[in-house]
Amino acid sequence: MENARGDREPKGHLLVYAVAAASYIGVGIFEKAILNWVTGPLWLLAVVALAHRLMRRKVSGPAEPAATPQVPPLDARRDAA
Amino acid sequence: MSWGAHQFETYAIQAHLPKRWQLKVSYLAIVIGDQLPDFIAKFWVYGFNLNGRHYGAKVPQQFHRGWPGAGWSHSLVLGFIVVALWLWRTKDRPWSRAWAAGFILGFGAHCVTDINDSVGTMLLFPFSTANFSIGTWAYAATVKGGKYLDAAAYYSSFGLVMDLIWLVIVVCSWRVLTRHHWRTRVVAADPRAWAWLGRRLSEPLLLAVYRATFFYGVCRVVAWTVWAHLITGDQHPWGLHWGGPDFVTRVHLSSLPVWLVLVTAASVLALVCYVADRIVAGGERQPAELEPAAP
Repeated sequence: MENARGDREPKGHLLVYAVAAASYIGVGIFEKAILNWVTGPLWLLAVVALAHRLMRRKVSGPAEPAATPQVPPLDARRDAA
Repeated sequence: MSWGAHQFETYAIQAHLPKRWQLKVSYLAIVIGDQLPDFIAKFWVYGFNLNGRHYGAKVPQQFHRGWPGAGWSHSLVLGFIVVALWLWRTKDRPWSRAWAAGFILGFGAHCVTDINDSVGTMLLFPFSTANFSIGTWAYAATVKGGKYLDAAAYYSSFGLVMDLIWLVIVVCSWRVLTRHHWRTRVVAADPRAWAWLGRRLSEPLLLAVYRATFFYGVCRVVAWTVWAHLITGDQHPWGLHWGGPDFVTRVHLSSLPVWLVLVTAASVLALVCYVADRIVAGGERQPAELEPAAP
């Protein structure tokens, strides 16, 4: 969705909010204690944070295994000493 | 009391700021101002149970909106005191007036919106302890029923209609929820606060912070309505008539004519707008105007 000035909303943001709303409402109907002005906003923030993290992982691909320094086998080190 | 309306009205205010107030009113302050009255009073209205004993107001409506009680939390004088103290303590800060104006707008909206239930608010406190109410729906916070009965009653009455009206107003002004509006109007009016948050949160999360109040409002309207009428519908029949629903006892603290209540509420809103305008205008004076005239 693009506004007048060309500020693009991130792809899929509506879906993220819909998932947050559906989950919050679904749980809230049966666990009414979460229907308060602290948990509600925090629920949305948590879902958005999680979705953003998943989207970033999908875009950047799986992480390369970190290069580890080559450690000689124990026998080689003892022989060298 | 009002439920989702107090979330939606903050966006309605933001979306309909007059041109001369654009970029000069903090949205975060509107939210804080709108939430403060119930933040002060509502916890003790519902109370809590501990070791089989209930702790809370013995007469919820008296404590919530009356005097003696915490009814001053819903009177404009508290809003003016907070704003005066705020301006006094932060007068040299560039964001001071934006927050003061936003706060009084949100606070005033809450006080006036709550005249719709049968208990109303002390709009003229401390000059008068009369409660101004038009009784659109029954005030339903009780010791025995607590929050759940209150919610069921509200979402069986014209309270639900009120929430939906405010929701429609926001939906018709949907641009107020867009990223563009947030960047160019909300952040621009309050750059320091959003910069502070921005050092801790990514942009998607900042946007979510901005939209969180709307999200919570929509979700609570849907969740409570579904619970009241689909899960426990046999206990909570609809009461879509003036002063409903009928399954709660209608309580009130004063009996003032509706015309007087409406005139007073309109006057209070006008005063709030005037004060907000003066606060905003006070920040527009050029430096030369502030220098004393040469002898």
